[in-house]
Amino acid sequence: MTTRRHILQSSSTGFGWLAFQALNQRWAHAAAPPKTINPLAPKPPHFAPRAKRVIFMYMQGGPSHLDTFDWKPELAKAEAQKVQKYMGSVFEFKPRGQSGLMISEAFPELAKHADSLCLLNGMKTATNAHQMATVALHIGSESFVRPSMGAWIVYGLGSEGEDLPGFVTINPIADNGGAMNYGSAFLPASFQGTRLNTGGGGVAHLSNGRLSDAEQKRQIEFIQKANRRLLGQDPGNPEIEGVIQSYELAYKMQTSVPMTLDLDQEPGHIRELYGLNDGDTERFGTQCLMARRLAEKGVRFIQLTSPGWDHHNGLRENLGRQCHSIDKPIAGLIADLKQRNMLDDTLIVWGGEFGRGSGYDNEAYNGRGHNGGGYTMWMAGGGVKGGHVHGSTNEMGDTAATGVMGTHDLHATILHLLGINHERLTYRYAGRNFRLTDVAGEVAKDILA
Amino acid sequence: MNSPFMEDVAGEIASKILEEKKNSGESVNELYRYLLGRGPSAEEQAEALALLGGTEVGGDPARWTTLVQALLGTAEFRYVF
Repeated sequence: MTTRRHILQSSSTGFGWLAFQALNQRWAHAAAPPKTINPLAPKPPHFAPRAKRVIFMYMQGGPSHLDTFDWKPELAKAEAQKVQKYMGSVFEFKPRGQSGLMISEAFPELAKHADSLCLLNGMKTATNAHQMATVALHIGSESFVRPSMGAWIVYGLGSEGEDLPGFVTINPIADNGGAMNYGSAFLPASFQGTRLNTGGGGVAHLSNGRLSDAEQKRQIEFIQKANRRLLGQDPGNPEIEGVIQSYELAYKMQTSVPMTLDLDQEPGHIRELYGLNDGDTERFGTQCLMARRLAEKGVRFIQLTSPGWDHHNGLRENLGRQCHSIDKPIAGLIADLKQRNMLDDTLIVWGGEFGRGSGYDNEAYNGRGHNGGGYTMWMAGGGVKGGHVHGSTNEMGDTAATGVMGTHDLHATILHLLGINHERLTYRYAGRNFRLTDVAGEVAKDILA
Repeated sequence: MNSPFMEDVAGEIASKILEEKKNSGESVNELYRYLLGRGPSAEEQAEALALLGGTEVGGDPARWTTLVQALLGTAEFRYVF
């Protein structure tokens, strides 16, 4: 039987063709015709959003909350009396800003923005294993392949950037789930994250040195005709649709990515603000500055990754160095978003897959093991209270006690800030509706500004 | 698509096809059989010749490379459906 869907997709005026024709006309004329079907077109949220976009800073390995954002004086006393293996913070905590948030000396620059931070001290996750906890943080499930948080968000809201992907992940990890952490699973392929690198122009082999623009356009049109013909034989095949859409986007990215990622366009004082002139901070500073430029272009979900937070030993030196490497860059990003009036509608989320234990681990009084039962993440901007602490761990700091937020609660809260009811953002697959938050998730209403 | 590897491979396949010095229509048939395991339809044949910019025997190796690179980039070549 010939279905309406079949006709629309396989005839010479199918949806893909329409979109491509529209693009063609855009390339040909400065006065662009109105946009036609684009899977990444902006979609209205369920209710008024507080944030338009997310910058998620993923700290791979599980940063210690007990030496950074969760002040536990009882631990220091226990260490002094040599109770079991309890170990106090290796860094001194001080009240910061007008709010008096307790933040350790590991983050001197970030601490200056304490009044913009919302600490989530009652985080918990289901496992203490890197792989499972990492995947859960990114996709909401420890054990099954599911669409990632960024993919769900772009599926729900589309993107405001016309010539960039809606979901970008910079320097993602290759292990602990790897591409699953920014994949789209059963959601259409257009919603998966696009990997960018801080080096080499962002995307490998982005530029085409051999063909002129006109020649390349003819070549891409040839490929797209072949792909649409193949789609006509198998209407609705999501992989082929994804290939067609990715060619359209990739063609545009040849121009848009170098423009967006050319950090040399930034004035010296901005580069300095993000720590680009210092070898210690340059790596993460580059990610943060790229994030701001992508955010300005309307990219919906931007993930940054800082690897190396798994401090079973050498905690004092290694955690100190890690914190230093991101401290100025993050402070710079917050300050820069503030001065551009972008912090109000940009939600920054910081954290790892879990925290660290209250007792020492591989090295006496200088290392901590994994701790999923209680740890800290923080948010800033995007409709959350600043200078606010939500939740707490018990007095030894290893178990979330109040304001407890599990993985699904975190995701539900992020979606809520974006104007999405997490129970209504569903996708039908294999005979049932799926959600990022599965059958759980409570919005942390206390943190809403 | 733009990687030097793709260009090298496309160039090698193109020169292999051109070595046989057939007319362009026959060469296109052979190229489809070589890459996709089937001959081109009349429509595909016409599109390929258009991309080559003519039907003369032999032809511009750079254009043949462009055609081979394009076929290597099609969903049909990249995936087994």
